[in-house]
Amino acid sequence: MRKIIIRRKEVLNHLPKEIRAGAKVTIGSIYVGRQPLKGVEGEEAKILLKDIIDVPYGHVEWPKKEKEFWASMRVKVPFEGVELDISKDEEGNPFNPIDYLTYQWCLKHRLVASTKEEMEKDGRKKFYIYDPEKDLLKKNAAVKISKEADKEFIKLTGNVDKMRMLLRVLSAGSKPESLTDMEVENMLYDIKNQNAAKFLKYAIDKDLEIRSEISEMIEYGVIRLIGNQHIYIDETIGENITDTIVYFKNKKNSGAVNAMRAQLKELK
Amino acid sequence: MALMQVLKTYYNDQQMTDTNSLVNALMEKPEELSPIITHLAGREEKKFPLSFLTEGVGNTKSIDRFEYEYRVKTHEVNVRPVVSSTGTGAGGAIFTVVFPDKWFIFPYTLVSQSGVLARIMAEPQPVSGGYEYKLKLVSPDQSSMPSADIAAGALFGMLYANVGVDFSRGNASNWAAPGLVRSKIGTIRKSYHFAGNAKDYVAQFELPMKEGRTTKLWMDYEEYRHMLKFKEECEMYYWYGEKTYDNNGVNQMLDENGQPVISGPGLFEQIINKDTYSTLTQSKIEDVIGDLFYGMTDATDKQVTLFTGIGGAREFDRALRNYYSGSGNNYLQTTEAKFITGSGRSLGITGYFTSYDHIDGHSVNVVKVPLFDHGPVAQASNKHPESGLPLESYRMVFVDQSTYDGQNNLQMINKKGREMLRWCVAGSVVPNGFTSTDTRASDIDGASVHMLKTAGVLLRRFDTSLDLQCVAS
Repeated sequence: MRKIIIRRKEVLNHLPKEIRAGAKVTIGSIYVGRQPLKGVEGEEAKILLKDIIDVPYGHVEWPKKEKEFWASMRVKVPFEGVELDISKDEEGNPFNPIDYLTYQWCLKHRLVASTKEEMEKDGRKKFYIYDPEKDLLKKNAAVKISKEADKEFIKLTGNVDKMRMLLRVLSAGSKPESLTDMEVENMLYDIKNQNAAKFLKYAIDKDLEIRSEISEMIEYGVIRLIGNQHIYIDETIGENITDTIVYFKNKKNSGAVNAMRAQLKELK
Repeated sequence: MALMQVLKTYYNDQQMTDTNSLVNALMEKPEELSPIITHLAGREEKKFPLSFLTEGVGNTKSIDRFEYEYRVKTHEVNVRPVVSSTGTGAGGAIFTVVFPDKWFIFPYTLVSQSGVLARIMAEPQPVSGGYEYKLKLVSPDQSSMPSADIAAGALFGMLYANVGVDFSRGNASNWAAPGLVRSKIGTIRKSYHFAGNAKDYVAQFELPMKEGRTTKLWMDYEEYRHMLKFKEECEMYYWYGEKTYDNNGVNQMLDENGQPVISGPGLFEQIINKDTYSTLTQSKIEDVIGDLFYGMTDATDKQVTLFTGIGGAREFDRALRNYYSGSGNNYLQTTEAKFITGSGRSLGITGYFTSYDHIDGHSVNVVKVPLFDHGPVAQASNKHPESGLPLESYRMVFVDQSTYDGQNNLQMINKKGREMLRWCVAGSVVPNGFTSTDTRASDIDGASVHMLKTAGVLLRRFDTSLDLQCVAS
């Protein structure tokens, strides 16, 4: 059985918690164009609504009754949320048509977000769908990233220079050249544990060397950083880090890049 | 109240003196005059129904501070979930059930979710996870307690205490303390300035006195119009106001002088029940009202006011008309001329649904709020896909105006002495009604009048009102 839970946004105000918890908050019908929002349409509506609407599909009253059904749709969402069974049988028919219709309707509803994060970002959203399966997949994806990050970390420990480059990119102003190998390793280990995705992204970055070089040049004042722009003397060499990497890789700019490198060497 | 009226008339310095100026009366007795003006002006203008239905009909209270506290009753939850259990009571045996607290009292009879009765046979004992109750099935015909009824999470309720024939001991009663809510009131101001030209018109208020006599008080007509505008602005604060303090009561807004700007919650912020609609149907009205009324069992004088705009009033009428004319509702149709006036070639349509009586004895009355149609929120709001009216015009606010424990559910709270403050800063001219002297506070060729009110609207029961909004994508 596949279940999802519709939950509501907690409103914090001056009222005692038990009163807030007892609020009757309902997802009601909304307009989409000139019609009430419909959860399902066409063939799916014909199949799923046939046992709910008391006239057969094709009857002259069907459109009116269908409109009334969607206009009267209400999902009461108590403090603990409302559970919906959205599982289907082998032929693709939902076990609980009302729950399935409600779920489809909520998916399209303007006030319902597909995740809690989405609801928190968008002030208009008042509800969200908690899908334990999706949550499981998300958690599993995080585990996979963490595992990959661990693998990359082990690979890195054999290459001290790469470790220093990575640390410079991941931790601006860390001055890896002034740290011992053990300190660099420990710092990278902490960064990996705090944000495995970020660690992995830069650990497998093909342009890590250039990225680190640019960071070092910024650190020593060879390149100036204004907003996202990278400026060398008076010339904007990139609107952002990606542009600047392209600039460094372009053979046409080898003269300027060599000049920058020479300047950096002098300053170090 | 029926004698009160407001008239527009010419200024007459023989009759309209400082002693019968409304300005002076307001300065002396704002707590008495403010409700009367609200009533009079509200009846004339119909632009501030919330003020009219609170302050204007005497549902007002003046307090000494900017904060007030009041008790609210919350719904009692008289059922408890099973934590764990041992045995099923088969063959008249005692079985045990653990509940999370000691809410159930020895020797009451409990009822399970499928309706099986069991009596508490001993005082509950504290155990890990709650209290352990020893129970025995009441009916000897009941073979055992169904396993689903004593599974973790199944609910039990408490019925009555059946005791032995003699020597039984007294038991106890559960009591839940009402919740305490602390709220604040805010200050609203409005000023207007005018040049040194003469004013001719005045507004004359005819007010009732004891033994049926009336007295006339007057104020400058321009001031009267500004006062009405001020009342409209106050009305906006009562509806849309948002509190400036956080959940711990700490004020988060300071003005340019470093003074806290205190603002209490408006009615929308106080109503915790929320819903949306597109096309209103009778079934939706029935569901919505049914849900609301379910929580109003302890109310007397059960009154619900449906505040809405033109769009909402039309929707309400249309939903009930559609229901009335529905093919399955022939029994509702009448041959009486409820909806048609006139005769022959001169016919007209009449009869609009503006109230709804519920089977439980509650009545819902529709009251139009011009603010929802023409107020700033309405002007800024998206348009209704069918009518083109502002969506705000379709907003329906069901406000419980019943009486609980002798107190009206909807009240206005004022700060004592600041129910309606008005004063002038005289320049070259002194506004009519204010005392004139040779010395003036300002060198300007004109004068200014200032109005101030410290108040808020209080909804005692938050869970019996509803904010129903029409939403379009």
